[in-house]
Amino acid sequence: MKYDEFLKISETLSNPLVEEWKKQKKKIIGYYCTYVPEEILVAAEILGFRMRGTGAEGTSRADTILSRFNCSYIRASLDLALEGKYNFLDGLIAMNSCDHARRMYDIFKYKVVGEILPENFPLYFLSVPHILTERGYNWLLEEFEIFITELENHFNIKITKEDLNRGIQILNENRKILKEIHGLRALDKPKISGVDILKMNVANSAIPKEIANQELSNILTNVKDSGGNSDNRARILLTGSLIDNPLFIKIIEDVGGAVVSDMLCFGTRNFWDLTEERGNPLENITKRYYYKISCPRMMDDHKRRFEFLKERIEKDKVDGVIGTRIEFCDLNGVENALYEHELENLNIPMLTLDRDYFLGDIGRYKTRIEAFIEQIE
Amino acid sequence: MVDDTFFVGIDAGSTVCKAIAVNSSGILEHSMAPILGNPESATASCIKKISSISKSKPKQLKKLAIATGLNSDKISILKKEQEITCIGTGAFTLNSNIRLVIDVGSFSMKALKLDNKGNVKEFMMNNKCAGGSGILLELVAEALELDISELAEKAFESTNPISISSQCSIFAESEVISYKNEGANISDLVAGVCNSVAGRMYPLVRRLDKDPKNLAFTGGVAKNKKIVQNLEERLNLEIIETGLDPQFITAYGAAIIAKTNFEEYK
Amino acid sequence: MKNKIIPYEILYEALETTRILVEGGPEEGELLVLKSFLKHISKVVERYLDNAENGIPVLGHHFAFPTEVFFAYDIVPIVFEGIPYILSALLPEGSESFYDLADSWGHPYHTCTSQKGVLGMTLNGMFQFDVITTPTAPCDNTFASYPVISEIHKKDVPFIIADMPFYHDERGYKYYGAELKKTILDVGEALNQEPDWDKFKKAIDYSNEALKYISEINELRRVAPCPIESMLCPLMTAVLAFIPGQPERALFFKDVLEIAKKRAKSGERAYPGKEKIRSIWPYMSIFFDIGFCEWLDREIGMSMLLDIFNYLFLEQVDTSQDVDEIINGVAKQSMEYPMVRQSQYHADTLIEDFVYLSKEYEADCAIFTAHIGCKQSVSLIQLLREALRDEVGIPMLTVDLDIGDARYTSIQTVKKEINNFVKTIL
Repeated sequence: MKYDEFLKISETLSNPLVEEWKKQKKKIIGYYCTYVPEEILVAAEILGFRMRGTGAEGTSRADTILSRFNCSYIRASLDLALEGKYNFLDGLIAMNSCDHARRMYDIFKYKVVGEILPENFPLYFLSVPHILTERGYNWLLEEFEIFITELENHFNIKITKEDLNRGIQILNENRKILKEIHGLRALDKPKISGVDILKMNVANSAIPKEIANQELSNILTNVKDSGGNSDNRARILLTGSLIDNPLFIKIIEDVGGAVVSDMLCFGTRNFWDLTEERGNPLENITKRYYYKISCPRMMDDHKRRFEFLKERIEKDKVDGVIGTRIEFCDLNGVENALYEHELENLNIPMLTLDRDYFLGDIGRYKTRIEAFIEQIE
Repeated sequence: MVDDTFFVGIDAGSTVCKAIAVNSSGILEHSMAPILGNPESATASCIKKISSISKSKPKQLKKLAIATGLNSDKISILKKEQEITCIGTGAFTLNSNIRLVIDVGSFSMKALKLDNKGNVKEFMMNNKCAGGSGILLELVAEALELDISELAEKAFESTNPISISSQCSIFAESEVISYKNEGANISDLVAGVCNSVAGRMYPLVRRLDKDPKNLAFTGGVAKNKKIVQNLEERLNLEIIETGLDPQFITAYGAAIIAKTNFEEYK
Repeated sequence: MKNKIIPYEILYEALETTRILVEGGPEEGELLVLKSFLKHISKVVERYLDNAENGIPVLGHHFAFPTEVFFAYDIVPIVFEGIPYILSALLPEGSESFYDLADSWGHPYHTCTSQKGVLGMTLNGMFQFDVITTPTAPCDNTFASYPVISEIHKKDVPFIIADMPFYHDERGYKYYGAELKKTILDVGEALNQEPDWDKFKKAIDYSNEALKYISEINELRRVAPCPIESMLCPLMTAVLAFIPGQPERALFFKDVLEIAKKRAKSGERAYPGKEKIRSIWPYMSIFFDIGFCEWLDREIGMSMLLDIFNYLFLEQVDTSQDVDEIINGVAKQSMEYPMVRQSQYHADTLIEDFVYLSKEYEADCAIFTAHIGCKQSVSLIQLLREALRDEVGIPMLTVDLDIGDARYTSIQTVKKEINNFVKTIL
């Protein structure tokens, strides 16, 4: 596959590899959040497909059900589901990620399954603790055990320890490559743009991991040999609410900001931490998801997230941070505000912006980002 | 015997006042006047026009008139009726097959469900936000230097509508201006705006009825045939034509209620 | 020493002012429930103020914890979510200045004002807590606001969190029971106090007694016309938050029960005129306007039969058991507490509860206050609307607003929407 061809996977909801997978009668399960253990899906030979809003033209269908106080990304993904664009899925995993995403379990149950998707379409729910304790760890381990049993029963399969170990290996390889590619974007002369990095992460979330690993390692080899580009006005780290559309990053890069680092769930937060390969695989998987770089849904873990942010700022030589929240995202809204205060004490400039999933009139974002870049230049 | 008692319905909306007179033989006359900050005088001017045509005294007409609409509470002398009830009565009297009505004016969007007697069973309004209402069409027409009545025709020329995603009318206007400045095709842009208005109407109807049928579309925005067509596509139905200018249906309902009240009183 | 709970001083004054107005204003026999409320809550707030002044430690906690569990210690309990909303009802400007402080700190405009108000008060240095504690429930606002409040407040104040799982089954109750027990012990350690389990049991006994009256009151609310004023809905919410595990809690509900019994016997309402509409409120009443419920009763003839905080799906906890068993019982209560029960679980509970209550109480309509802060509940409005339409045959009005901030949607607009709804449909 050519470089552009791989990135293009991010531009449409489904893709040729999904179609190929379906042709082989293999299963695809959608999931909303990076706390869903992909290793288990790989072990079950199920393609895990991260839910997105790609291609939604509006939220008219979703607005029949949800409120205008709901997140526009969630509404966009639901709109696609109500349009039948997610009919390639064989199941959905939701969890108590945030108040908008967790209600997708209910909305699918009442309004999508049985109407748009077949009656026997399975819905899974994971109750993930919101703080880090030993009891919480044991609870999550049990949740993953129950989840495995549910998958086995529904799809009439058996998931063995060997399968789980294979899942761990494949996922770890995937994360290692993405991390190495991240290194190339964070060089003094970045060899890859923030826009391409996002496209890569999105494409990676929508195709079989074995194929992703081959393609990403080819990309890594090619990009390594290319010359970098230091032609930018400021090095930016992007954090905050979910982004699956590169347009917002393009706005930043078009006005001269190079997005050399991020703390996003379609980014570092998803691939940074590896899973231990020795020992009990399910315990290792649980540890990885429980203790990974967290999302603001983890209530007692802000300090660790801030440490990670500072580390990225330092190692990736970041000049300024942009934190966005999709309107009505309480979790990232507050997290951004906390960072803004904490970074102010360290004299690191930060811009916080609220945005709609559909950016609409990009002029207003452009003006503010340009002013921010001028300020730090 | 010809009954020459006239009943007047006044719909004092946010920007325009509409009046209609009926008697036992049907609709006699209608008139319109801009509100311009003074609903009382707009109403008076409507009544005056009707009075000169129907040869009745304004005083007589006022006694048998019912007012409704956003600005009706500012018209002190007339009896009032709920706007939703007037819309429902107006549409149902014109065609008793109607079970759902969507009404879109300058600043508001309302959907209502009727039972087989024409009573309102449930309704929905877009509270707080005028996004997707007539004001958007006015702002866009102005920005594109078109007359609001030309929008539909322009939109029908489009082969590739541009999707407008801003929910707020003000943001949507500036989104349209950005596209225009980038050199977007005007027809595609207008078609996109029309589709986005229909897109805002869709959830209101669907919230009332999972399987909508027998729908009428009233209010000034219903004059835009592109929006009508797009809404029909989205809802997969054919909108019922009432035969009356959609902007006057609320006033017509008010007049019918005035007439019914009088007959019941008698 | 500066008072550590200044907002309670403001509250005390506001309560006294309101009391004078109410005592002096209406006819004898009117506003009886409000009068009893003011009497009892004033006493409790006064006690808290005295205790705080005498150096008893101040414990700030989430409404999803029953305060009773912390009565194993000598504490002044402050339920965060209560104070901004009671002040929004009693003060002319409400809690607006506190919300604005939080907003200017950078808190998003769309978070729940119930906690944002406390953030504002904390930024203003009006609270000095000795411990802050919360469960991980029932919504994102808790995760978004509590860590910030504890962070801003004072770095060395212990912040103790109990993890509440999503499942309301034996596994979930057991896990949360253990979390709750650990929280109680951690609080003791932070306060350097040994738990006094007898005091803890006594507090639960008071609340058990109140629970008994509440179920009797709710039985009487089925009577048509409803013998209890709509205002009991917000008042009961306030009593649950402000008067935990103390004699006044039982006394207040006993008063209400007696008033209700008397009226029910003679077929009376709290106000003159007929009961025209029986309404059920699947979310909450409005706090920012103290006269709102009276307006419903008097002007519209609408009884607010129940809101989400008024029907308690709670079992009494038997205090003759072991302490561990009692804690497990309270843990279950905490997970089944109003709003926690419906919010920290799938849609089924909210829908089933309100379909059941609408039928049982013969409601003519439902009114859903779509509170901008409450993202998980607004997600379910349409599901609930369809269930009430299909299974009960009643319409539901939704009003977008902020229940604790008059500036988002004014009371005039709320009243207008209710009027339109009533006049058009009912």
